[in-house]
Order: sequence, then C-alpha cells, then structure tokens
Amino acid sequence: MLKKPLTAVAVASLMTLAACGNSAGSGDSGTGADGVAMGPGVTDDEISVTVISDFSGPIAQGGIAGSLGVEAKIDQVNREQGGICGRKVVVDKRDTKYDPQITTQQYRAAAPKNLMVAQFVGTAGLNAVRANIERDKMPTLSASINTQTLDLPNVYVAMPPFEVELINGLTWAAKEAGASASKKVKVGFVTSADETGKVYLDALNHAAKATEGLEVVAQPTYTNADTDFTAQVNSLKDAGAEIVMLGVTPAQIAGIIGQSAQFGYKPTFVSSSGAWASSLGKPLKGLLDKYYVSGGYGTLNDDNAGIQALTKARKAYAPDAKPDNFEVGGWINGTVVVEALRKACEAKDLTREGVMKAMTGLKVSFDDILPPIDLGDGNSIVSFQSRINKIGADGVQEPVAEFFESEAAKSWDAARRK
Amino acid sequence: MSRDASPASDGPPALRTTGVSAGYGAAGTAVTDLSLRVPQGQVVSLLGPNGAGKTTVMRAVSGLLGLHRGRLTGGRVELFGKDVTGARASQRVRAGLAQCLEGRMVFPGLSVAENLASGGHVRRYRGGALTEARDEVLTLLPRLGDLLDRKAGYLSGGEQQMLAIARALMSRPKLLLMDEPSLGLAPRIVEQVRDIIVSINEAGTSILLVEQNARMALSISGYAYLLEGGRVYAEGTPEALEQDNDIAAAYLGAGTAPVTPRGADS
Amino acid sequence: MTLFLQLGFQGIALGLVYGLIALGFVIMFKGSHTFNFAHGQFVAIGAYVVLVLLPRMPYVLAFIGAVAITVGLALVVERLLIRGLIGRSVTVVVLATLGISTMLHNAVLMVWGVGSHDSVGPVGAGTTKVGSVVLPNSALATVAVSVVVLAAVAWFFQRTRHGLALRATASSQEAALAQGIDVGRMFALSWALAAFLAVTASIFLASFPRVVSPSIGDLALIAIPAIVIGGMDSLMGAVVGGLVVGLTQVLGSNYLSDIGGGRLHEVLPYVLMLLVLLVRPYGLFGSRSIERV
Repeated sequence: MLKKPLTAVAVASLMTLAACGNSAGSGDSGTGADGVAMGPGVTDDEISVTVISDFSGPIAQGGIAGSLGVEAKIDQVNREQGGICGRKVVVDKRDTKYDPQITTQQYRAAAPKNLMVAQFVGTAGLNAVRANIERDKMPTLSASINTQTLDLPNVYVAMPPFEVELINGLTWAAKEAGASASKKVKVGFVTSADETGKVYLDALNHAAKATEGLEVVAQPTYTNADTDFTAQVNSLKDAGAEIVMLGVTPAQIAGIIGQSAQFGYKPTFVSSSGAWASSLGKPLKGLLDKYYVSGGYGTLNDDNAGIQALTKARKAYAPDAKPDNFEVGGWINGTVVVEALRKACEAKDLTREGVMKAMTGLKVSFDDILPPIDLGDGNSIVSFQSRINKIGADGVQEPVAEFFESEAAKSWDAARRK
Repeated sequence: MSRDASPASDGPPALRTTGVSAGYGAAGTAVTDLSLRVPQGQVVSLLGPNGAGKTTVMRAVSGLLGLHRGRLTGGRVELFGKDVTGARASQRVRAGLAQCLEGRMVFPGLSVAENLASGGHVRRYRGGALTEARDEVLTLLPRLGDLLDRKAGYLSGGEQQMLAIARALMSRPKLLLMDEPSLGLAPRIVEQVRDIIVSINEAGTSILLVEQNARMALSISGYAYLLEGGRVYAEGTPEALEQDNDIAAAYLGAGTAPVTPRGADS
Repeated sequence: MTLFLQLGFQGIALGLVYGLIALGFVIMFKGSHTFNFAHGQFVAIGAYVVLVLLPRMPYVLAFIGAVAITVGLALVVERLLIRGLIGRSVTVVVLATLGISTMLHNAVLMVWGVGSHDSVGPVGAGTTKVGSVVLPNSALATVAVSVVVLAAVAWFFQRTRHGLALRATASSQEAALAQGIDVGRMFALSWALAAFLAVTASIFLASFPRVVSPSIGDLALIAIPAIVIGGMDSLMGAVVGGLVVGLTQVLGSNYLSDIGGGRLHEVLPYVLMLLVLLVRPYGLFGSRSIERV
C-alpha cells in the first residue's frame, strides 16, 4: 500500500515534466487536402486514436486483451481497406496502471495528439478526467460498461452495461429456479463496498422486486484488500441464499466460489461478464458447474461471422496472444470507432465535433457478436440484451441460451433516469 | 628523540607494522609512516593525546578501518610474521587477534552468556567446548559468572568492561588489542582492570594497550610508543620514557589522570 | 460461536502468512539495516517459480527449487545493489529498494504476463471438519507449516552459532566484526533467510482458492502495518503484528461490515499502525534501544 502512492508520485512527476509545453486543446488542425476538416491527431495520412487502459496493473489482463480487440479491428481496416478516409488509423496506447492519478497524467499527455479515445478502462480513472473530457469535447468509448460512465458527458458505452447483465442474469436464474408467487427463492448479492457496488446493488434490488418469487436475504460487500471471504460466504450460506449474484471482479471470483465449495455451500452463482477471466478455469476446476456468466456480448467460442472475423484479425495482428474474452469487448469498441470515423469522413468532418455528430444515432451491426445497437443520444443504454454462458474447458465461456432482454432491465433504466 | 633499542623478542613479533599510513577520506591522513612492534609475550602501550591516531592504529591492525570509511594508504601489517595487510577482520581474528573496543561495545540486547559465546565465534566451539572455554575465561573474571543470564545492557560500566575483556578472551587470542579499557571507570575498578590485564599477559597473551591513563599503562608495559599528530614521537621502555623530563612533563603527568597535552586536536 | 471460530481460524492462518513476510522484513532490517520494499516481489517470484516447477517435479522439490532460486536472487540483489549503500541515508536505501521492486515487478510481468494462474498450495481444496467448524486443509497446512517454520527460525536465532552471530551483527556491526564475525556474510544470510520466508509465505498466499498473480507482491505489503505494530526490530513482534492484521481483516470483514460502508476493516490495520506509533513508537514488542548504563 505504501509503495503505490510513492511510485505514483514518482511516475506522475516524471510525466508532468514530459507533458510540459503540450496544451490539451481541442482546436482544429485545419482542413486536409481532400477538404476534410481535421481535428487533433488527424493529418492527411493518419488518424490517431488513443486507448487509455491498464497495461501493467491489477486488471491488466483484461486491459491488454481489451486493447488487443481494438487494435485488431483497426489493423484489419488498415490492411483490408487502406484505413479510413484515405488515412491510416493508429492506436496510441497509454498505461494507467489502474491508478486515477496516473490516468490523469496519461489522458493529459494523450489528449492533444488524438482525435478520440477508442477505449477507456477504469471507472475511477474516467471519473478523474471527466472534466477534461467535457472541456476537450473528447469522444470517449468506455470499456467500464456501467451506467456511471454512461452518464458522463461525451462518454459512450457501446454495449449493454454490467447492471443490465446482472439484472438479466438474476431474472434468468429466478426462472431456472422456478421462482413464482407460490415458490419463494432466496437470493444474495455480493458487491464491492464503494459507489460502483452501490449502483449494482440498486440494480439487483430493483430486479429482485420486479421478479416474482424472489426474496433478498443477504448482501455482503467486499473491499479490494480482502483475500479471505469466510465472512461473505457464511453470511450467504447462513441466510440460505439459493442464487448468488456476483457484482465482482476476477480478483474475487476464485475466493468466493472456492471458499463456498469448502464450506459445503453450492448455490447458483451468476456474475456479469466483467467478473470472469478464463485463467480462473484451472484453479476452480470442478467447482464451476453452477456458475454462470451473464454477458452483454458474445464469446470467442461462438460460431458467427463477427467472431470469425475477430479471430482472423487477431491471428493476423497478434498471432501469439492468448485468447481472452475481453478482446470481444475491445473489438466492439473498435468497430464503433471505425463506423463513427467513416460516417464523419462522409460528412467531411474529422474533428471531435464531427465524430460526436457521427456517433449520434449511429447504428452498428456486429455480425451477431451481439444484436445491432443504436448509440442514440450517447447517454442512453444501447441495448438490454444479455446471454447466459457457462464455463467450459480451459475456462472459456459457452452459451447456454440465446440473447434475451428482460422487462426488469428496462424498468430499472426508466426508474434510474427519473 | 626516539631510542634505537628495539624490544627483545623470540621468533616473529606478535604484531609488526611497517610504515603504515591510514586516513578517512576527505579528512586526510590520520596516521603517517607508523612502525611498531609487539614482541610475543609482552605488553606494549600506545600513548598520546586525543586525536593522535591511536584508535586509527588499532583499526589498521584489526581491519576495522573500512567500517569507519577509512583506508590504509600505505605500509604493511603482520601478525606473528604473517602479512595480514589486506586481510578481512575475521581472518585476523582467526590468526589469533582479539580486541576490546573503545567504549566497551558489548551487545546490549544479548545476555552475558550470549556475549561471551559471540566472542568465541571463530572457534566454532561445539557442545561442552563452549562451556569449557567460558569457565576458563571466568576464572580470570569470576564476577561475570553470576551475571550470565543478565542482559549486557543492564550491567554497570565496570561490569561491561569486564564483559568486553572476557568476550575478547573467548577466542583464546594470542594478541589482544585493548582500546582505553580504563576510560570512565572508578579508580578501584581501574585497579581491577589493571590486574586482569597483567593476569592475561602472564597467561601468555601479548597485549597492545591504548591508554590515556599513561601511569597505569606504563606500570604494566614492557615497552611504549608515544603518538603525536599521527606519528611516533617517542618510544622506549617505561623507565627510559619517564627519565626524559620533557616527555614526562608533557605526557605522563602525575597521578592517574593524563595531563592535557599539546596540540590535543592535531 | 461457530462463525467466530471459523473466522478466527482463517484470520490466524492469514495472519501467520503475513507474519512470515513481516519476519523477513524484520530480519533484513535487523541484519543489514535495510528496509527492503522489494520484499513483496520476492514473495511474488517465489510463487511464480513454484508454479513453473510444479508440473515437472514433486511438490517438495519444487518448493526447494523455488527457495534456491529466490534466495539466489536475493543474494545477488543484496550483494550487487544494496551492500554498497550500507551506511548511506535511509532515503537512499529506501529509494533503491523501491526501484528494485519496480524492476522485479516488471520482470515478473515480462516473464509471466499480467494474468492470473493456478494455485500453488501444498494441499488442495479439501477441508477437515472439527465439530461444526470447517477447516480448509490449505489453512490447516498454513498454520502447521508456519508454526514449524517460525519455531525453526526462533531456534536458529536462539540456539545456533550463526543465529547468535546475526543477532550480534544486528546489535553492533563494529563489535561483531571485532569478534571475527564476517558481517558481509551476515547481511547475505539475513537476506537469504528473508527470501526463504518469502517463498514459504508465497505458497500459502497462493493456496486454494487464492491464485498466483502479479498482485501477490502488493498483497505482501500488508505486512508493513504488521511490522510497525509489532516493532521494527522484534522477531516476535513481526509474528504478533501479522496475526493482528490477519485477524483484523477477517474478523472485521464480518463484524465491522456495517460500519463505514463496509470498508473499515480495510483501513483498520493502518489505523492500528498509527495508534501504535502514537502510543509506542517502537511498536508493541520493539525495543527502545537499550543503552549502556
């Protein structure tokens, strides 16, 4: 704990030096030879976009895989179509180490050199630079797919948020358990003891109320310092929760599921897609038959045109990379970036305003990775669809049902927007 | 002023330094071109005012200069005829050297028994051998026998000095360096220390004694060196030195307290 | 009551692991006057080496191999990077160990990537029931091995020639040198001992259901409040401090979950650390250095 702030200070001070002389402006760079208005990061030959993510910190596994998805998509467009608007698209990667302070420095350094943020990882970091993003008019695609980030100005979430995944997951599990007016099913929620956790809890409680036959019996929380989940598991077990919704990250999954098994407690676990990392398949082998992931988008195992294109592009771009499902999320953001830039190019406006204009009402199809979305006004949930997956060999997700959307998710959205 | 006569000896001297110069980094040279001998079986004293370089000589002999960021800049140190100029402190102890540091420097958090055991480190005593060596040492310093379980930090100054001496004897040294063993002790205790030094010497250990209490030192030494400003200013037998009026007046004074010498900070 | 015993046992198991790590910190601090911030990375590296060796050999050999490699690494770091700084200001040494920590962390990321891996505990997921209390075998192994290792370390310090020499060196380098103790070798010995404790702790820090991941190095730094609570220079204090932190975390995650939005138990070890600093700056078991009378 002591190390981090010190390192952060050291790194931050270095970067303050490096950032000197750069002014984070949103000013236009003029008009290109082809008559296209050009914003920061755009030249006659290049469009630079940035990925601000954790590449070496605690969630780097997801951060790197997510970035890889964006990079693979953009590489594909560069290779197959010679880029966009006659310009090569380049990705400027910035490592935040999942630290809001470093994130701020990295954002400031990246802003003057890039047209948009193709992918931003980390809710806390995003909150730290929200004012900059607003001032810079920086179109930003968030990989932290929750409604907290969706509500920020200029920030877009191109997938169903985690809350929708959790709500859909709970309604699915309730149906599976046969919950009804005559059959009460006890449920428990595990969330982090912070703002994000509260939002998840709010969504889950809404879903529990909206679904017939559910009774919420335990709502334990955790902090990032927790490595022992005896307390949480026992509170769920003692309350008799039959369904446990996990609004957690991969760092907690093994502890909660593993210790539950040790205490002889085997409820149905359902988490959002952000909670599972395929590497957890090995230590949890044999303990995952009642664990499900509710995902807003498909998995690498799917057999459809979108995943095939992704797999092909990734093999071409990074043949040695280990497959990880966060790639799919990155690919989705990459696809949105490409479509937005194309639309902006047609309007001859590759400025930030132009990109945001292009994003408004942008409809994107992902070739069945997830049902098509409409970005709408940029502040609305783009889709209420989720699919339930189980964990197969090697920890990869395998679907057990088709995409669906629940009334509870929609009514929760309506309630929260009031 | 120095006398020609060297002390008599059989075989190689316990200690011989030849043209030793040493200093501490930027502080310059503390000891210059120093040659001295401790014949086997003798007590030799190193006298002189504060800052004359006595402790530096001790460190040059024991190999502790480096710890104080000091360094030997010239000359040669031999123990029992063996060149140890570049040797590490531990190697010198294995060659038969032991020392009582200035300020006693017992291990305060360790018990008396543990302090004694640490003194036998290089001997690797096993089982009963350690107790045997300890009993042997305790015959010289019997009072420590009752304090074995006491933490050394809780001993009186006199007891700590006894412990420092006993600890040094645990390695059964052939040459013992003693740096200011009487410093800060009551006259009655100084007498005891003096008697102990005599007994150690009588048991066959050669001794190089650094003392400000010149009277006490000379009373038990066979030979003495007078240091001033890092150089040997005079040397000789105690009788010869005492006969030299200048020296006697300047360095030996009267009684047990040393006269404040000239150039105390040289 | 069952839950209390359950939590208490888990807290003790976790606390003993912290104690092993804290003990390493204290041994290095006493032995070479270095507060080694890179110690957490030794813990991480130990876990990764066990992970690599496990598929190739029996558990005991993999553990011994990891100890050998981690100890070797610690010795190289000590000799090449730290030894020359002895006697320099605390800030210089601390900055150096912070730099080494970052280097080692990045080396871990380069070699093994950022992802999580399998568990590397000596026993699997099984449990043993005592009355109504479920004791995970991994926690039982943690307690049993930690107690044996701690007893062995205590025996080493109290009863062996090198243990005594280490304590003498910790007390006074000059006096130790004067006894013919090779102080440089004692520095190395203290680092080797700390590295051995780090590897021992690592296999329990990555015991089921915990896994090997780069965050293990950061996790190990929770030992810092443990050391301050116990006293920087007290071997006993390190273990007690570790237990205090472990019990605080696990008991607190249950009994304090309604206070402070469920985060109190996360900060409580640091609160305790500050309290101890205010009341007894030298820690519960640390010594106000005993001066000569």
